[in-house]
Amino acid sequence: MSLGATSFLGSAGDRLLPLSVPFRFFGAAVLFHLAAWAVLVAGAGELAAFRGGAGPVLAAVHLMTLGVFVMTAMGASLQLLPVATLQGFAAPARINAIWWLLNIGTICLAAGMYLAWHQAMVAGGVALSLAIALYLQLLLGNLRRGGAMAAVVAHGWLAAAALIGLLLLGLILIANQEHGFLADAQRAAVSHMLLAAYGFMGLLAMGFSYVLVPMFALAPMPSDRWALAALLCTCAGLALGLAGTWFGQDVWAAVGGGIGLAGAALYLGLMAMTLRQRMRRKLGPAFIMMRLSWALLPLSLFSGIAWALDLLPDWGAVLFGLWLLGWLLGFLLAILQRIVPFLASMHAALAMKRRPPTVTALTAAGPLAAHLYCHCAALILLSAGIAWAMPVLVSLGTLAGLLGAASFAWFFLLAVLKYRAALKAPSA
Amino acid sequence: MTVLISAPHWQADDGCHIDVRGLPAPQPMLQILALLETVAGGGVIVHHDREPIYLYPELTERGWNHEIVPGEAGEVRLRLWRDNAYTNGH
Repeated sequence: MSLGATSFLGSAGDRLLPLSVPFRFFGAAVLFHLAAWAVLVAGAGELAAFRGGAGPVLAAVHLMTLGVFVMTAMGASLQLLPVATLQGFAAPARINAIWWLLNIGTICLAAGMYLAWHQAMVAGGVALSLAIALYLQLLLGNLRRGGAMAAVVAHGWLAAAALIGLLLLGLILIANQEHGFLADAQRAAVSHMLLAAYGFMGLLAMGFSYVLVPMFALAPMPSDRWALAALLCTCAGLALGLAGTWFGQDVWAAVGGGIGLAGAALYLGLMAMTLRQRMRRKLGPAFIMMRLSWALLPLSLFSGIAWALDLLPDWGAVLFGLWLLGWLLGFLLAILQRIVPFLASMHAALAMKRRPPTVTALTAAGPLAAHLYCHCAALILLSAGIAWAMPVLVSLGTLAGLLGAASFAWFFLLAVLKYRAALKAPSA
Repeated sequence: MTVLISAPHWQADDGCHIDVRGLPAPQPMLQILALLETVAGGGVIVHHDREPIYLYPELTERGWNHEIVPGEAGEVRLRLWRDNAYTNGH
């Protein structure tokens, strides 16, 4: 379709990776999503009473966080950061190495956690450390050179700092499994979780929301000033939450959660304002998933505050973790179901000399609808099963999650097949 | 909601022109799509400072074609036109 070309800095080639690069990350995330639910089905009996330690629940959590969240975040950021910073990536070998190390590290770590096999956890930790170091080198280089979108870039810097912190804590926790040198491993584990969820992943999710939600809804970007205010509250809340957890000061942690709630309120207000100003009338099922995930963000903070203040029964910690993961998982799956056909259509437009497939044509609505119902059913059944101590509901919830993950994988496979078929189809 | 076309735009012999250079993302995309909604026929010439790759899926969805045409130094100039096959089929 593009008949001409340009060597000017603004050409597509300077800012765009081949489609196979983000799609390898997204494809792996889709498979890890399936694997995480499958492992959770196997460990459903231990979920309600989970308090940390090796086993299927810990393995499933890390398949979800590393395999789905980090994999998607890396793939999306490698594709989208150049848009925010106006700086390209030119490191295919390093990106390739990141993908392999992240896959190998996630599989080893999850296997080690499932089987309580220390050597596998160490191998996984080493591979993941290398993957994260390579990724940080690319990310920080891009952020340092980039000047546009100050709020998004600030989120990137702070997410990178959180990533370093959570990696160090993760490695300490792996070493502690064998040597037991931490006086209170539970505090380190909770700090690791807070840094991962509200720090690295949460900040990336918020930062990219300011680019992706306006792009998909066709709306102006929110003001940098308010986005930075939300970021300040989020980081202050997280810092206080971490200090409270680390020093055993529950009130600090609760106040941190309250400040985090203020940040979440600002962020959600900006998102609501963005959607009110949109040009696109029908947002589609991706935004139902997105709104569901947004609802879980304050819910996770409320439950976290209540947990810190000992206002919840024993199962409160598990419910807090479930809603926290639900927020991030829902957000990422909403982004994935929108970005996969969008990128495929865009790359087809750049590659084809004739009409490329539309986003609508590349989106399989049936599997996505099935995924939405299953995802909602999983969250409701798991929440109810944990709160009412009904193992049957927990088992049904994990099965619904697995069915949803299979539907999502079907959607992804169809998008790839339709894209390939469009490229191969003879010209009319 | 309707986006106001605030970017400079004018009618010329070769179609309606819009200059979105210097606008922060995603304003160029919004301005171009808003203009396309008002154009009854003929082509649109876009003056941009980089290739608007994320605009292409939106153009495809709306039945518009694009090509890069020669422009000034430091400018990416695009010609947009309606796909008749798409228009007739919808």
